[in-house]
Amino acid sequence: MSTKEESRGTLSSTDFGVAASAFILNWNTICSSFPQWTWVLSHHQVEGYLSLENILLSSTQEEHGELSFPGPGKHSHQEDPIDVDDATLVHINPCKVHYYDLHIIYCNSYRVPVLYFRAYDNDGEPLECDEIEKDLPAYSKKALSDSKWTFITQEAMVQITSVWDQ
Amino acid sequence: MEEAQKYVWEGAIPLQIHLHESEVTTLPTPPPALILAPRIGYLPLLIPQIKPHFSNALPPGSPDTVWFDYNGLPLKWYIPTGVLFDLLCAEPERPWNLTVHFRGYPSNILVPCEGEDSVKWSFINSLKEAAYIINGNCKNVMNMSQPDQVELWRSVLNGNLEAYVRISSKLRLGTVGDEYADGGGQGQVKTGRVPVRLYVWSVSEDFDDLEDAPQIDSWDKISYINRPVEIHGEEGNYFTLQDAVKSILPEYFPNKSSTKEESSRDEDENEQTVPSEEGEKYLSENVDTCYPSDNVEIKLVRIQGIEPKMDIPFSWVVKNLTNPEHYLHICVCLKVPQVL
Repeated sequence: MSTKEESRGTLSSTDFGVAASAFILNWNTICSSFPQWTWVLSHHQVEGYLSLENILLSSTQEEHGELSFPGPGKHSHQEDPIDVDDATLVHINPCKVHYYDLHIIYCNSYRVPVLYFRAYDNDGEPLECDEIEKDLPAYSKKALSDSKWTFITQEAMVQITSVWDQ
Repeated sequence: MEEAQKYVWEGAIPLQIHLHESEVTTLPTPPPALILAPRIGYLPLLIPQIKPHFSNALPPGSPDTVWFDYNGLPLKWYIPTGVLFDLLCAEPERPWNLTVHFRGYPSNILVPCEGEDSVKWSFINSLKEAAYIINGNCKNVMNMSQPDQVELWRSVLNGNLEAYVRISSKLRLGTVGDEYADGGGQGQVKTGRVPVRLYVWSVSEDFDDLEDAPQIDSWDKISYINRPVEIHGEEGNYFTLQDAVKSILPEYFPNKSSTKEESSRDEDENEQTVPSEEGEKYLSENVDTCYPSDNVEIKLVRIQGIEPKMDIPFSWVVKNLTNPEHYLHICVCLKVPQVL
């Protein structure tokens, strides 16, 4: 990465690919019990993006949802063997369950990675913007209210025809 | 030079808009609405003209968001009307027959649209992105005064080129194209990036008549590529439209490495990258999947409804055929060999 790019906070497409490979390696090693990020190639086999799909976000707590996964639970559930795999879902109100697909793509215009996410409920119906905002971590919510230029936009993702939030 | 821009702004598509049969509640069925849609405009902006025409025929109850389809394909509202027409009508259909719906918004295919506001925001965001590509920052757009922003949008809404030029010149979004227009005498040509949106559809079989071209019945068949074209100083004078299109389709037209690039490469040789200058680097997992350039043929290139000669200087195209948000929208049809 050239110094000029570093100082501007941008990176080249190649550097993104390299960083993504490193990210996958680290994530899959350190967070091995979490679902794994994968590298997906666009159908032209040239550009790729990072993908993590089907994450469950439980919003049983009003203020902050904790990212959890349908696999064996970490943190507080670790000690209790009964809470391994799907048993944890019993306590969650199915109406409050939100699913997220995350994709990280390289944006050629701004020369930065961009996070696209798709949020949906139990029935596969897309979530409304305000519901998604409630799921965001605190610092993101603050950024949203700070400036009119910080916002979530809904866009059709490049090369993929379904509807995504960015 | 202004002449061409005037033609672009005056360009319009005659539309014949039919209410979807499932939503017709009166007899006889209402006649279609005939509207002249500006090429540089967007379909949702026509709704105020269309709605009154059909309001009598609509079933009771509050309508959903309005949407349009062409031959069953829901139309993406953030794509300028002219581009949709150039892309989806290989053989131009006049008038262009579209269907309007007031119910059943296909939210799995179309991003939500809250009328004019959504279109305006989409436009401003694109303008911001274009500014970033051209200038390396989008301060000029973000710092636009509220009255300026309103007037700029209104000028696009009303097709008022004069008002548009007045406001947009403050943004200083001259691209590389301007260098040639002013006859940059000393060969001090800028290296720059040009905002381009490419809409690519591929066919595997040849067709002689556009009428025989296969119908586009799904957005899966179109690759939407939002990638800036890089113009490098020295070669700028000879950079043609063909060069530009090929440069942003490296998967079909791989850049050939040249000796002058070797010296600037200090990357790890184990990486499987295809060498190219500056921005167009990418990771290629399997180089064999790139099509050799002699098997891929550019069958059609359409910009603002015209099919320019491929050897036209790209700078002219940029200077004259861009849309108000400073993006050049190019529809390309490629003939590719069948991939198994």
